[in-house]
Amino acid sequence: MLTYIVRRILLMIPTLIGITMVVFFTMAFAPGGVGAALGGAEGNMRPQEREALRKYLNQRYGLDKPVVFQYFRWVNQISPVGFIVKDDGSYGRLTIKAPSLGESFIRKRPVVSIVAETLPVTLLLNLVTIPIIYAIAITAGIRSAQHRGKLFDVGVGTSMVALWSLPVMWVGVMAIGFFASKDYWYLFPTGGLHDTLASRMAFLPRYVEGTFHRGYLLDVAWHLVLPVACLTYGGFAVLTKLMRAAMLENITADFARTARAKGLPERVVIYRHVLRNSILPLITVAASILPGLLGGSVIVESIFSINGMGRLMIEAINTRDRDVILSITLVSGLISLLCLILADICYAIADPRVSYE
Amino acid sequence: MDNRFGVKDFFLFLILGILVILVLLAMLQYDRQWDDVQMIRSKLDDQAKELRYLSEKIGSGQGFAANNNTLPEAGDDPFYRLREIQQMPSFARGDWVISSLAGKSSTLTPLVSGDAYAADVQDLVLETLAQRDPQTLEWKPLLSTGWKIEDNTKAYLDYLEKHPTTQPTDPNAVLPDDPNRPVPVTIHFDIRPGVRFSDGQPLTADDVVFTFNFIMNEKIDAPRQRAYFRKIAKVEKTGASRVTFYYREPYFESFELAASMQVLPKHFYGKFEPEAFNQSTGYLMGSGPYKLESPTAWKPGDAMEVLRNERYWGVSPPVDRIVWRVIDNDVARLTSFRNGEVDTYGAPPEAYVKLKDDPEMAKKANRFEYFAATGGYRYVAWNQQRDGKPTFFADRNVRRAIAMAIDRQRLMNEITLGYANLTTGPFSPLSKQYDKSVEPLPYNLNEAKKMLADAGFTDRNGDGVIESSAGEAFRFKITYPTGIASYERQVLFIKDALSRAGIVVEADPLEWSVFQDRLKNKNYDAISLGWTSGIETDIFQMFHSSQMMAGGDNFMSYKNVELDGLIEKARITLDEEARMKLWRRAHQILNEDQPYMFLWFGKALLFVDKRFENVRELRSGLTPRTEWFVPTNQQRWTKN
Repeated sequence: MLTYIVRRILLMIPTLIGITMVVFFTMAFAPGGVGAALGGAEGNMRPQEREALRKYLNQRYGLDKPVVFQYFRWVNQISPVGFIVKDDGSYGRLTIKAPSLGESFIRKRPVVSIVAETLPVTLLLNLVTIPIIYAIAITAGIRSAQHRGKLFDVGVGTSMVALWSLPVMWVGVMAIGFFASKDYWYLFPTGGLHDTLASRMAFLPRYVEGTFHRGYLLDVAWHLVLPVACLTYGGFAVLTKLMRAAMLENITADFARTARAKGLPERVVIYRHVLRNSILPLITVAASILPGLLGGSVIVESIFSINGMGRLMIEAINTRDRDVILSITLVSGLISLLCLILADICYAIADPRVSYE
Repeated sequence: MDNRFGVKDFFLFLILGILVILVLLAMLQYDRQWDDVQMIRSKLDDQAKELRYLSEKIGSGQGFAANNNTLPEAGDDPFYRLREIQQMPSFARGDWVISSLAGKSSTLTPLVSGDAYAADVQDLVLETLAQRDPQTLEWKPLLSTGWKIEDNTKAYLDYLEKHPTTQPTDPNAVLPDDPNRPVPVTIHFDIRPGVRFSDGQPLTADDVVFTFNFIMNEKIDAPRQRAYFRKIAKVEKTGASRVTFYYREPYFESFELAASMQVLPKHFYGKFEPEAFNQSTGYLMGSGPYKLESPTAWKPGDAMEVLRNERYWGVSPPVDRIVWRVIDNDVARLTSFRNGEVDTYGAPPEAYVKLKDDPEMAKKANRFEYFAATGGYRYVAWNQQRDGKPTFFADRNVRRAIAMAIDRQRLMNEITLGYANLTTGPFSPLSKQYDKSVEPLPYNLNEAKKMLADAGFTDRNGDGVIESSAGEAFRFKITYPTGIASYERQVLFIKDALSRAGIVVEADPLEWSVFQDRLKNKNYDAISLGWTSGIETDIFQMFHSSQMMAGGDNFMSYKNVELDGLIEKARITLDEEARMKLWRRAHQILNEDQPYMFLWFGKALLFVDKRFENVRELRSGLTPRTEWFVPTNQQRWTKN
């Protein structure tokens, strides 16, 4: 098992190099080139400034050097073993050094700190979303399988496919228009993660002189309701169908009939015997759902003005901010590959027949 | 079955339970501390208010008495407008202004930040030696009490004539140093006594000198600012409270350059390493009426807000706090405004027209249509030279004919719904540079056709498309940045209009970075774009023939000898009256020549919450937010 994991981890290195190479060279050979987007969105930069900025960036990030050289420069930068770069730009000896994700062309700050600002926000959104999707999808899937062909099964199946086909873009805007507007129901805030007065709130909810104050914790929860709702509703359909299919396969299997014949109550049969044997396909899906959600919250983040990684990526692509794009690719590539390994390990735990020896 | 609840499980649950209880206790403790913090904060607020009251009393009694014992004249008192507002019957201090932003700022550190949002914040925190009066647009002292300009341009030019040097074509380059060359322009500023930064340290001439040297430090990430400041050779302290700016070359904006430099505190910015400064996200402190809650701690994602600088040396503005909220989505922005979560809403024309007659909107907001001093204009540029060969657009009459074949007034009305002014040149209509006597070319399709025929373009083979004498059909592409609906509609309109003159136009939308690349290599037929303007604009970069090189902004390869001369002369003429005459002549030539088809200056359309008073239109746009106030009984965010 251990050798297997080590081998898989070592295999990740060439995979990651491959991924970054594709991204790097696609960007470098795209018309317009890296770092070309130096103006404002409508060209509203004062003419005097543009040329000065262009020269400065070329000199600072070596954007006028050959592309292959630029790629090696980048690999050297992120690698823990590499050449030291001296102040004048020349290369010193080969040593072990601190790897760096580089610097954003546009913001001129280390990419690490930019990613560190946005990653927790996106993780918060997703860590709230994933359990909700799973809890609802699994219970709905189990019940659909139990009541196959009945009203519940058909109703859930239809409505979840209907939800799945609603575009988030539209639902998000409608949700703001109806649930966050004083003209209709002002139940939730229009966007952001904190209230205007959040910095003056206590942490926990409390009553002061008979009026209720929601406090910082509830405030964040309140702000999360609409974005999380938008992130979850589309995810039910696939998981529910998957769960239902897997359950149906096992619900009529021999071992389930034996269990019933032993006189075990139906609840025990379903949850202890059938469910356990139906969980494998969900693990496969789980491995791909986390990296998917990291990028998938882009639209929700921009509708609700939440400062997350999805927005960062879109912004970086629009401005051709090379190091930021590469770093996000690297991070999400790494997370995907780790999730795949994790899924493999989970198989072995969930199913004693699987082994990697 | 072996699924019994064992001793091991019991301990596991026990530990988990203890952990949960500990977390809950920690939360409670944190919550208890908040009460104390709140108490300390309110006490501090009270003290700060007391302090402001005291320093204002002292200031009004002594501050100006030190300056030759008279009250300041209305003209020279930087705060005469605020003093007038204070006399209004409903005047009150307090409340916040919350505006919405469509994009977010990644750093608030001056010089390093590049976006307009950060500049908005910096303008409230940092101050300049002088500022333009928002109504008269004349320069008024702020951090300085006065200035003296020594214009030695003539001696400088005479010397240059005797010692000819080649003028660099790079607009940002300067002449090589020569100790014998006379200094063309020298400007002295007297620093106002009694000015303090928001941490209480006095602002002195040293801070001004420091600011200039800081900007010019090659290690600081300010290449754009350096492009301008390179025109100044050095800044020196030439008296206890006097600084002198020595210029390398005469330049019409030389005064503005010095006067609008935001003065940075030496004791604060001097302590950072250049690298740390460049990478910082919010090192912002100054002498202005507002300050950041902490001068170093801001980072992207935090609330963008400035609060009153209680130590402000001048008259403190009415509003306690100015907040910017980032809302990307247009619907969300409007909804937040309607909910009263934000106080301003800048509407696109289509939305504005709808909301204008909305009774709910009328009940809660005032609306304004105005020209902002920094507004920009839309144009279509014609490429006159491609791959070394002149194009059809090289002929001035062709460019004029095309402009005349397009009903620009209707085009403008369709796209801006009338909230714009047709322009005939690159200067802001608010500016003295703009020659109001210049008439736009008339819309006259028949005349246009005739002019095209005279230039040799007629339909020779009867296919409805006009051809040159060499038989080449007149067809071209208009390139424009993709994703902006108004450009799309504009290009379609032009295509439609020109097809009536027998010209085939193709739309060519391009992604922004590809677009830039095309511009740089002059690889296009015609492009549609906009430039930002200012109160006085330098057109050297766009229209002077020396700027035709690849990457230059004269990407049309346009050349007019008379215009070149006018631009050169205007740029070194410090006398405003004389200079404006030159600019106005340049304006006439540009309208005659049509290197661009100048389209329009757009109006800003803004809704402002009704509780704000003294929101009015001035020459430079709206009254600045530092002059808005809310009567006590309508204040929303502060309780009195």
